Amino acid sequence: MRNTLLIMAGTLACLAPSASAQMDAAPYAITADHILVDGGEVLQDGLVLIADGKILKVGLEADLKAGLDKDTPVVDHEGWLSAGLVAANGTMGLGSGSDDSTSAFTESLLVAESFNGDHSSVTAARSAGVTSFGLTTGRANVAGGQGSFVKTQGAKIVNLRTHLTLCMGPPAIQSRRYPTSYSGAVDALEKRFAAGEGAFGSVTAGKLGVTIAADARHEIDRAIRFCAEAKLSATLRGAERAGEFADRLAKGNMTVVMTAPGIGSPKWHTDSLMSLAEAGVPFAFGLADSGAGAGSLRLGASLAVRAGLDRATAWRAITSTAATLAGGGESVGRVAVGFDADLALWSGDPLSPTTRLESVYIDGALITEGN
Amino acid sequence: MHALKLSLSLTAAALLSSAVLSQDEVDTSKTPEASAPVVIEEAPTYLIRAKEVVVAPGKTIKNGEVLVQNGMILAVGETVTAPEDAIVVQGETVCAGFMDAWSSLGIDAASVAEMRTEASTETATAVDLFNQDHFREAARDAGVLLARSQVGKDAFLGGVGAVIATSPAGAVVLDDACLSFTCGISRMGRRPDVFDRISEADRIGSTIASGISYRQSLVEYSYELAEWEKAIAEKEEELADDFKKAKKDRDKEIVKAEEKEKEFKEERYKEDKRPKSPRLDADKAIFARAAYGEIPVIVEVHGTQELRALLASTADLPSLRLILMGATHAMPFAEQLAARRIAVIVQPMPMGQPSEAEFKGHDLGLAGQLEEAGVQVLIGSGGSVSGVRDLPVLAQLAVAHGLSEQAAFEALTIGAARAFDLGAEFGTVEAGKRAELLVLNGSPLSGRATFVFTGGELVEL
Repeated sequence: MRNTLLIMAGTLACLAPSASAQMDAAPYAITADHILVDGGEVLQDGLVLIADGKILKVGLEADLKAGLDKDTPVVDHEGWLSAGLVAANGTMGLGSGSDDSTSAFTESLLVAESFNGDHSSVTAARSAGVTSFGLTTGRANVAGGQGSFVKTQGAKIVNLRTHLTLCMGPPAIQSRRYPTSYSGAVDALEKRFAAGEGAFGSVTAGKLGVTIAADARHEIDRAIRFCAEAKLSATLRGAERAGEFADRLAKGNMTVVMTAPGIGSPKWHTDSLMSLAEAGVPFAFGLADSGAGAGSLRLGASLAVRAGLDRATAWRAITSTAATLAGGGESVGRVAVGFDADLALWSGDPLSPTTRLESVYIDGALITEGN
Repeated sequence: MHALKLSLSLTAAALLSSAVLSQDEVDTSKTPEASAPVVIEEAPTYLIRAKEVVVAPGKTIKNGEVLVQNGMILAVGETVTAPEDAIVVQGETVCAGFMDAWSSLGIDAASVAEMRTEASTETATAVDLFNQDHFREAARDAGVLLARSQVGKDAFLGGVGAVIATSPAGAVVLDDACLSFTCGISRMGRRPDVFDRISEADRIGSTIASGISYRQSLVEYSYELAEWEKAIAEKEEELADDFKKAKKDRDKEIVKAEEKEKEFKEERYKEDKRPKSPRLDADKAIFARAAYGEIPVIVEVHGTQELRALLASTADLPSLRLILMGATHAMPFAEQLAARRIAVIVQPMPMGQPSEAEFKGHDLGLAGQLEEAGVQVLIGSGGSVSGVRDLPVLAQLAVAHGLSEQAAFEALTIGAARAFDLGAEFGTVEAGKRAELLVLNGSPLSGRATFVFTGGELVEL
């Protein structure tokens, strides 16, 4: 780590806040050669002031440093600072218990109850710069349960109920239990939404989001038609070919969470992203349906830019848009006043594959050095 | 994107004089208004001007020029003498095109998946002319102009690899690039048990060594044949010299026999038996080439046990040019690899939780660690087709995890070319070499190609 701690006013008592630091720790600042505020907005020679785990100020170092209290410690970072990465979905920390196969409808299941924040998969995500993610169920049930928005440190649950996961495709439709067909699943879901009870009622009341797993073209088509009839603005999950339906998705105010493109991904994957961006359909990258590690998020954004996607959209797909789609957009995903101080310090531009992660801060505390 | 096929007539040459092509402007539309009665096809000469000419890893020329014609580099320097009608191409950087040391680009998919390949199976015979254009073009546009491809990708014996050019379609640059093995990898979703893995490693050494005795039998045969031919020649000479006297003596003997009323018995010369040639064995012929270092041997191997066994089983083959692929757990053997000059083709691809057991412990930092230990590093996309396009990204990932930029660039250019005996033609920007060149808008690893010179053509991107 190339951070150097500048102790202002000669005090030796000020150390970089560590994982053990309390949330009421004194304010401190981080300066960086570049601060990636959100999307394409970059501050050169910027400064972030942090206290109580929140971002108090963001601006140019020249403007803000003079106003700092003389005892305020400053971490001087020779590189880039950005918001911590956000995976729009993930099953890290869930082990194998995220699906209950005894029933096709487990809409009351709260996935956060199975969350182990100390699991190695969570630690690995944090080491790749992921500071929060949308914790989601598997896709083995027609109604798979309710997801949450969590941090990768301290098993912190930011938002307990973010969305209901639905699946009308092969993993959930099984011959040995009801419903056994797509039409059966649609019928069962329509009845439940019409009854408006429990999680289904929360969805129709706009208190709970809804995610529909859809991979193949016909599944995406069906999901869009189902949402139109049920008057739902759902997030499609999987849906790497969603770009082929960009106009219909935009019309239905739908959004997409998909696996990030990887090394050797087909061209249609990145073409799909560009179609969604052109149509104004918000999309973000997730980890739930991929065996790839958390490092795939940043690499995927980088590959998308290489394929022609604009930098701002690609960056937001792994930060602010991801947070919004996952139910945490009010507090994370941007370097902005009032947002959680979930930050990543990089050796260079985080969208460059040659860049290394150097430090991760969550809620203002230095958590880890990167890989 | 399209290839600029420029053919100049004598009258058109004047119009094209001092034409300048930059990233934003390529003008090839000028054609002579007057009819040109005699058209002579003449390859255009290109003058590449760049802020940096990366001649070779660690050797650059600031504000340099490169002169290209007919797919060859004619001159390189700060300024070069160019004909007046040379077409000027400008960019930030010019460097050698990249080579993927581990791919299956350009090869029929069924042949890549074939498990019954043998040593003499030739990858070059499986070139797919019809279904690979989009992969080849994507690779070319990313600056990857050569790829070492292999049939029988997961077979124990993959056969003879080939170096394929991404342009023109189907171009095979080298049809005997290497002999390929895999050792201890998962096949059909199952990994061999530890005994099988070690057994495979042992077999590689003994299999290659079988080529030595085959070659020796061929050599012995050639000596025996030469001796036999020499003996025959000497006898014929002797007979020719003594022919008159021998004829006289024979005539006398015939007369004597007649006088004694006996039958004349011809004295016959008993010729030595011609040596028997060894039975032709195409596989052993390839093993012999490998054993004597005429072609490199590439082995995909990952685990500690099989790496140890492989290095032991090949230790007695001093001429063998061994190159490892993957080598997930190579670091415990780095000192030996460096001492034996065994290069490693790494695949610096993020794998998350790899499904195949051999990749457990896969570390993007392997390339940097090997470099630090003095082991030559090459980079490959892991035997894929679509991943060739992302080779520069893989190199960048290796750099992010500790490989030096110079070593990464070398791995993609002259390092790979030399490993497959193509260093005299490819891999650097030097006069006399093939003009397989990239003109980039940035540094070699992170910049994007704006022009590509390949296969004697200029492609604007």
